[in-house]
Amino acid sequence: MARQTDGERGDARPRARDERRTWLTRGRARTALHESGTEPDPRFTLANERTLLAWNRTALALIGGGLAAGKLLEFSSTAGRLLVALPPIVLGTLLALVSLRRWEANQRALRLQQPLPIGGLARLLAGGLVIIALVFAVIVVVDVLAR
Amino acid sequence: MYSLDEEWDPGVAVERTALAWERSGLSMIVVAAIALATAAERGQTWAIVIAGLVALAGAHSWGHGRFSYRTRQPIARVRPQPRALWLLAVETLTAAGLALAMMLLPPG
Repeated sequence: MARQTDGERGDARPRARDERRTWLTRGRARTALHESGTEPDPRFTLANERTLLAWNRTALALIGGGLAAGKLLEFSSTAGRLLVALPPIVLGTLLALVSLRRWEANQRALRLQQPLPIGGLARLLAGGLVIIALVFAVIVVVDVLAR
Repeated sequence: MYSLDEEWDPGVAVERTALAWERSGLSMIVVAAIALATAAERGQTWAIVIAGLVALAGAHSWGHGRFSYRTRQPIARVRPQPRALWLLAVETLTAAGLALAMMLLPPG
């Protein structure tokens, strides 16, 4: 078996035969989640799960909001409708994907009793919302000026 | 492993997580309802079907939280459930795909 350094612990560990690499962990060879570390306090596991579910609700709110905005706001041009509907939907999609990756990274850190990784999820949300708000502001200004 | 009593859950963490599942399910149902209304207006059958599936997925998540989430499982035995979370992500991505398709494709 090839010896493999686990990037988190810095010690060599033989690669498990059934080591799984999913797209979530691509780019960094990892042991399967249930094989690394020990089971953490269940309250932490549940807290991690609730965090993922909260991100999931945020994603769904953005998806629903984008869909509703595209449907309800009347635009003469398709471009306007897309400009309003697409950014929230895309942001929601990104949140749904990245939050799952974050869940796994958190769970791994809990199992290894390491500090939780910081990640850029909150920044993604904040940045995305700023962009969406600016796009909406521009659309409103353009709409008012065009009348 | 840890010194918790089997059932000692003073923060009612299991119930709070079950409620979080319910909220996720409800959010998904709302998105499905918006898509359903739009699709019905436009007469897009394919969108109606997919929206119906998303609504069912949301109802499943809600029901999971309401009725079956870790019922009678002592908190000390809680283990992560990555597959359930993956499934939820797939359902959310389906809802997103549906929303994108409805916005990108012309009505009718």
